[in-house]
Amino acid sequence: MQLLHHVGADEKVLPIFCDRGFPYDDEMDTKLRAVSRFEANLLRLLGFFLRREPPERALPLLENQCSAPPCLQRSAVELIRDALGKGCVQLLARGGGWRRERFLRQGRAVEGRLWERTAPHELGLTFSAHTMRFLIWITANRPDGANRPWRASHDDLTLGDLLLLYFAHDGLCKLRPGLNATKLLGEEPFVRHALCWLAHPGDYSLAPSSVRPNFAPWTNGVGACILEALQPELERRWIAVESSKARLADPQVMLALGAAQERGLTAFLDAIEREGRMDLARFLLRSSAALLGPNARPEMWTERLHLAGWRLADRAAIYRAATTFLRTMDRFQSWERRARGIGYLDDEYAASQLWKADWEQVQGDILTERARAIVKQLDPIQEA
Amino acid sequence: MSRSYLVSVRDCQTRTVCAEDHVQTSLEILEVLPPEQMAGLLADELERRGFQRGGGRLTRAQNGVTITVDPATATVVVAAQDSERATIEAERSDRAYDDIGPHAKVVRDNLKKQLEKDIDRKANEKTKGLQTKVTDRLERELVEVRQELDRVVNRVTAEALKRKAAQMGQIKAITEDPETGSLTLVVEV
Repeated sequence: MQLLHHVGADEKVLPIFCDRGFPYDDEMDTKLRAVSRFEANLLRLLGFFLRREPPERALPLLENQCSAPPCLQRSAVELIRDALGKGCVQLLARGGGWRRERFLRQGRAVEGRLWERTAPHELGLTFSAHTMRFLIWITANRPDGANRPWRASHDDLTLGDLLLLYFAHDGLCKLRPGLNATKLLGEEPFVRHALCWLAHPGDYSLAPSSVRPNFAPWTNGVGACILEALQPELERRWIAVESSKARLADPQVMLALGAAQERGLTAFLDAIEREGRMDLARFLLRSSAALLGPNARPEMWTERLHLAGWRLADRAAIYRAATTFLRTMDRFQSWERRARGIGYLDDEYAASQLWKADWEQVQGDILTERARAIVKQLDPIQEA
Repeated sequence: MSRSYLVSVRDCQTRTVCAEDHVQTSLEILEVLPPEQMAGLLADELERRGFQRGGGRLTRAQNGVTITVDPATATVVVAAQDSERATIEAERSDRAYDDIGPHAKVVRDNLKKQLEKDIDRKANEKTKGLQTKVTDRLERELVEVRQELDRVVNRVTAEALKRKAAQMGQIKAITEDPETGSLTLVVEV
């Protein structure tokens, strides 16, 4: 740890503790940069989004508004650029990029760490002015305030912008219930941000039915590489979301969560199936292996639900929502059955072999049987 | 010294309250024969049990519950509905400074609005009561429906196996145990 002093425009000394080497490179370590209070707040929030600052430090900054200056100093912009470049890459590398995994590259299965599967120079991320605008807005405004939330068209954002917004979304979720950013998350680009849909489906239970998550950037090229690196994180998230269903008592909340999961999963699975990248759904298979152990039973999804007085039709809909994830196993099994019929000379051979290997590793057929048994037990006719 | 007048408003409405409930499930039909043949066997078995054909589906009503089966998709919908005419009465009263003047009119208008809400609330309670009855009736009937559907699936599977066996060779012996539902076929190929 090292203590750096940021001198604000009002000449006050603002001490900031940072991990070694972040967000400053070696050259910067020897040359302390002076930034204003606003810029220091912005850098600290960026550090929080990049998981370098604890929520306790970010919350006061988000709660207390700070007027934005007309422009940022060059030194601050350089620090932001440095933090983004190193922080995002470091998160992806630590999150799952370091793992030796097998994923598809140009129709072939390639094994190794992320930077071994794809050459590092092909993994570059670009950040546009939208990232800077978002950081300035969130430093100057309360995300749950009455002000008009920050907006940008999803299609105008680069992969770097989208990745930072994913980390920002994740950070804002950690600040609940102290800070409720529902209004911000209900606007473009968050409302169509496919990674956010995958990681936090519950946040999209109020999304208009016309809105669909856009998985196009994440199923090929660098976007798919990012999704590969985030597999362990997404696996943990799905296990957490599914496990939380046992504690849900309000049927309306379960219905909304199930509907959001259904929309997110359907869009995701359709997109990767179109691209022949079923290997990107590996995190769902691994989540199912963790959730569908030998002792898995319906109560793990419905234990606290209060359904007294509800119609049978409504109960069936609620159970259907509770088992959205379990019912996905049927689709995975259909992929495996189809993969069995694909021959060595077919184009999809490598993809199908990889899916079969993933399926066998988690004993997919057994998991599907368990999932079906649970869904069947929650069928009102079977319950009768 | 001023006197207050008691303004009283009473209303009586006859409303029709309706309640509906249903469940949907799929029959687990094994693909022993091609799907269209399995659908035909299912339809024949259901017809034998009193289901009526109509619009590609088979329907039977029993004890206030309607069972509808789509043999092509093996989907079953069991539905119950009921309605009743309910006479709902409500009364409200309040005090006004005059008996036919402007204040009495304001009080009377307010009472009418409250009365309308009271009647809506009572109608909702009646609907809830009827809904509970309909759901309970459906739940009771489901036990029998499930057992019958299990028997239907067993019969269809047995018939399909017989036909399949006949396609494979000459059936020498058939042993059926209605108690356990087991079926033994001896086929000479």
